[in-house]
Amino acid sequence: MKIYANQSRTMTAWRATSKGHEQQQLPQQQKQQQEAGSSSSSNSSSNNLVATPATSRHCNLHLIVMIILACCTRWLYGLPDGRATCRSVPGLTKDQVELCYKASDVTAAALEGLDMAIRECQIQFQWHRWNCSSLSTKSRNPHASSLLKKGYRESAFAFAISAAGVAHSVARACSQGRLMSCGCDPTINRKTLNKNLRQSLDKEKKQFLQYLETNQILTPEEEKKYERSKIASRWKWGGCSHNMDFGVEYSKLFLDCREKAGDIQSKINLHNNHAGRIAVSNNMEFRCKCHGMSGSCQLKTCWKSAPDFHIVGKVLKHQFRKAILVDQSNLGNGEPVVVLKRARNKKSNGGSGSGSTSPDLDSTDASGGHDDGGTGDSETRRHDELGVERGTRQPSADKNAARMARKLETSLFYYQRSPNFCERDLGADIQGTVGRKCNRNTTTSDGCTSLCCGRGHSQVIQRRAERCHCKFQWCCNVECEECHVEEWISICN
Amino acid sequence: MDYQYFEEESDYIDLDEEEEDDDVVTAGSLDHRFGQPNGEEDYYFGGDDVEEELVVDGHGVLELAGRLLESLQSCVQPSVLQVMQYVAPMLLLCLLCRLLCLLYSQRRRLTSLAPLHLFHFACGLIILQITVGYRLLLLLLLAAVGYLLLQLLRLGRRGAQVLAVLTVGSQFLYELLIWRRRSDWPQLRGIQMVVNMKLISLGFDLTASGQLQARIPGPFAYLGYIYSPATCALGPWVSFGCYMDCLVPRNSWLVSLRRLLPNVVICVLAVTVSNCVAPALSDFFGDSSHFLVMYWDALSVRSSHYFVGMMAQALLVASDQRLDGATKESDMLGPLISQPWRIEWPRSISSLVRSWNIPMHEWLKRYIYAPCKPTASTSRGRILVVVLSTYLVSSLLHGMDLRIYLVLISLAFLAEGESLLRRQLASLLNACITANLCPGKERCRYSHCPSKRRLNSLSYWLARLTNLAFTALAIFHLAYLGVVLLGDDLEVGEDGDSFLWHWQQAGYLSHYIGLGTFVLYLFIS
Repeated sequence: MKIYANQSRTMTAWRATSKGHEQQQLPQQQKQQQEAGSSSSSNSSSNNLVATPATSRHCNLHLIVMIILACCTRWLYGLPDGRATCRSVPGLTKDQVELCYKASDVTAAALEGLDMAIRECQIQFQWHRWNCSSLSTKSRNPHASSLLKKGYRESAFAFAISAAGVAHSVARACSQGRLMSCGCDPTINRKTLNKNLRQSLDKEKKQFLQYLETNQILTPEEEKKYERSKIASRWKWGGCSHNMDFGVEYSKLFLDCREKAGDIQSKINLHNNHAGRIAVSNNMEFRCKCHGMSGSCQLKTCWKSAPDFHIVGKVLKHQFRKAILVDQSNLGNGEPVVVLKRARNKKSNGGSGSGSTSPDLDSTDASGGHDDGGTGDSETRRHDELGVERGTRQPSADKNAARMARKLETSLFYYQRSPNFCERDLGADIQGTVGRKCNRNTTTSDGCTSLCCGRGHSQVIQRRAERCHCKFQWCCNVECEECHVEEWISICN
Repeated sequence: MDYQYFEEESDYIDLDEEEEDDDVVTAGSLDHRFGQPNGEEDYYFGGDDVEEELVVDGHGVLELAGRLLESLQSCVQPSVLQVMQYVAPMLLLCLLCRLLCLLYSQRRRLTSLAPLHLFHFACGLIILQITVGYRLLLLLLLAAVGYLLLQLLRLGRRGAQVLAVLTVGSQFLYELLIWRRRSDWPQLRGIQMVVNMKLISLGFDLTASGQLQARIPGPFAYLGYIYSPATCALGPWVSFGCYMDCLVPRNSWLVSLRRLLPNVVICVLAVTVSNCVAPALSDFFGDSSHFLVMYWDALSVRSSHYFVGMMAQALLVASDQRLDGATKESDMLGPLISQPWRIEWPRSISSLVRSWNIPMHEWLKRYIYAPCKPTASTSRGRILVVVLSTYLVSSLLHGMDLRIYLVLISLAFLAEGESLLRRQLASLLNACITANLCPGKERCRYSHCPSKRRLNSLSYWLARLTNLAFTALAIFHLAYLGVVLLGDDLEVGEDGDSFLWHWQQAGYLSHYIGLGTFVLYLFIS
């Protein structure tokens, strides 16, 4: 009983010294220290040194200097900027936070990509009822929004453009040389990067739990040993791939780790993330530099670079308009039913064009598209071939199936009908259209009739200041006059 | 008592993450503070924390250099690979043409030169096929039109002048005809410019005495001259006589191979600077100084010029083709097209202009400047008009490129103003500060010459400082004028004033300096 009491007291003292930066608990800690000091005057010298660092008269000057240096060092260095970013973003999962601590510079670029994705989303949807305003919260994480927990068409677009933004921003930061993790290390195979990360995280967690289970104090030597083993198991980026490959892989690593459940929502979110990354990598553009006498263009050197992100936004908006609704009731029914469904649907759709798609066919393709194993794909293909042979169908069905598979890879999937986004519903993160600016003279999505949901609109005068009549002043300023513009604008009631 | 203990344990378990984070920071700082060698090595090589702390501590320069080096590696490799894809076929075809001509000339007596011309024409066609692809047909059509225009030489000297006017005018006609597909033209402009220069020089050479003194060359000789592999793709201009003299190679293979290697090495260095180093430095100094941004961007343009010039020199060495003019060849590089060392550290703008493209300078001096230059009266106004005319013809040869016009006309004013001012100052101060380099100690006609005075003399250092000031001014003009040529020609259509953005940012300072030079010259004289 006494031994147990002593251990608990020393653990309390150790925790008090480790949490010296929290000023709110100072009175309690002082009380605890005084009690420990008063009640354990007959303990050993080590306990005495740890328990009473400030009030004991027997401590020498060396110990005081050491403690002062430790405190000053702690306050002097603090946390790096990259680490501070990890804490300031709410809504990150545990794996994302750990990944942020390991590669803070890459994750900072990824968060910039999320900001870019949100801004591009607001540009693409600025005349729609849902205009991405719910994604730009105080935090920099759009996945904290309630709307992304639903299966709407708008959620599919948000997932895709977030993944595209992360891939684009990380690739650009890598090409600019801003990332320390973006290096060449041929010793590690890139294909096992994700697995390597999981293994290192599990190993560190096991070691920490081992130290926890022994229920002993971590002495400085043991701390060094633990830290050294942690560093030894730390993963590194491998390979000398193109910058866009690095961006796509990090986007997959950072965003796909949120979707671990095997249900329809996770599978569809993973697919939409993949579609967003494909929209970036399929639109890489060649940029050339001319070489010649006196600035002419007799020879060129060209390289691939990431496209302007506005182009990616347009591509994803186009895919948003053609998004595919997935029927929930057809998933999870087992492999034979899926195969029979596929064969039956092909028979019914054999004569129709590729534009018309039924929910059943989409669901089977959606489930097939998420299979990562090669054997699974081959088995599925064998079933398809057997089905085709049994039915003695036309060979054009295979071409249609191949074209459909390629088309579905870049499509966006959703499994819930969208609400009308007219009324304000903060629980579902829907802002409504009250106070939105609309166009009175059109009948498209930005028209007042459509945007205001039939509630009517009112006209107000808007005054704003613009810079005009800019002139160059010697040397070297540009001075502009300030013009005031007044115009009538329409606002939804 | 038991209840109190359980509560403490739960607090300990709930604070896993914070304790882990504190362990990292405390352990790192403790190890760093108490100087554990093994711990420091482990942290330095493996830990992100230590690296970030070192960046904060002031090792940012090394880290930045590492990042810059890593960024350059991703740029240098593809650039060098693409350059080798251009250089290797061109060099091989030039060497093949030389080998065929050598074998043919050694086999039998030279009964006919037509096979030699055919060898040149065939190898040139293959080179153009590699570089411009299907647009080769357009070039052949323009060559046929040029040969028809060549028949005007039967009219004599006047016919040569009409040929020159029609050749330059047809350049504009071609650009207007293919205006809808004008993205193809920037690559053909350089090739067609050399063809036009060859046509005009051929016309003036054949009618040097006023009448057609020799027979117009046949189709094979004409095509071999126009599309010689050494000069068809990248220039430079050579005269027809010089082409005929070098039809049979004379230098040994060892000399050519020894000269090829430095040219190829400088080619690779130039394209590395143009594609990778200069843009990286321009981005690095993007916030500090606008002049440095202009300088590095202009260096990118100049390196591109050196790259193509050195590549053309390599082709000349491989084909054993010599250039016109009295300038001696370099033992290491062979015939020189441009002299980068005199451009990057110019004595004056005039010497810079002469070193930029030596064969083109020779062409302009021989066919534009010399016939217009008066011999009797040496009035300054007329010399100014002749110089401006020379620059205007040089602009017109470049085709419809507004940037070239602005740069060359500005260069004309700046160079002529500086030359006049320095000549006047040299006369007044009796010191060697003219635009051209002074001769040696004996023939120097000024009393304050650096070569005549000794190092401890005051006038020596004053003359050197004055020349150094003019060199710095020339470097500024070089950065100011060169930055406009950066970027593709098609940007002019998209943003009408984008290529003048740098000049606006600099406040047109170089133009005002040129104007001030003229005003100062008029004030002194």
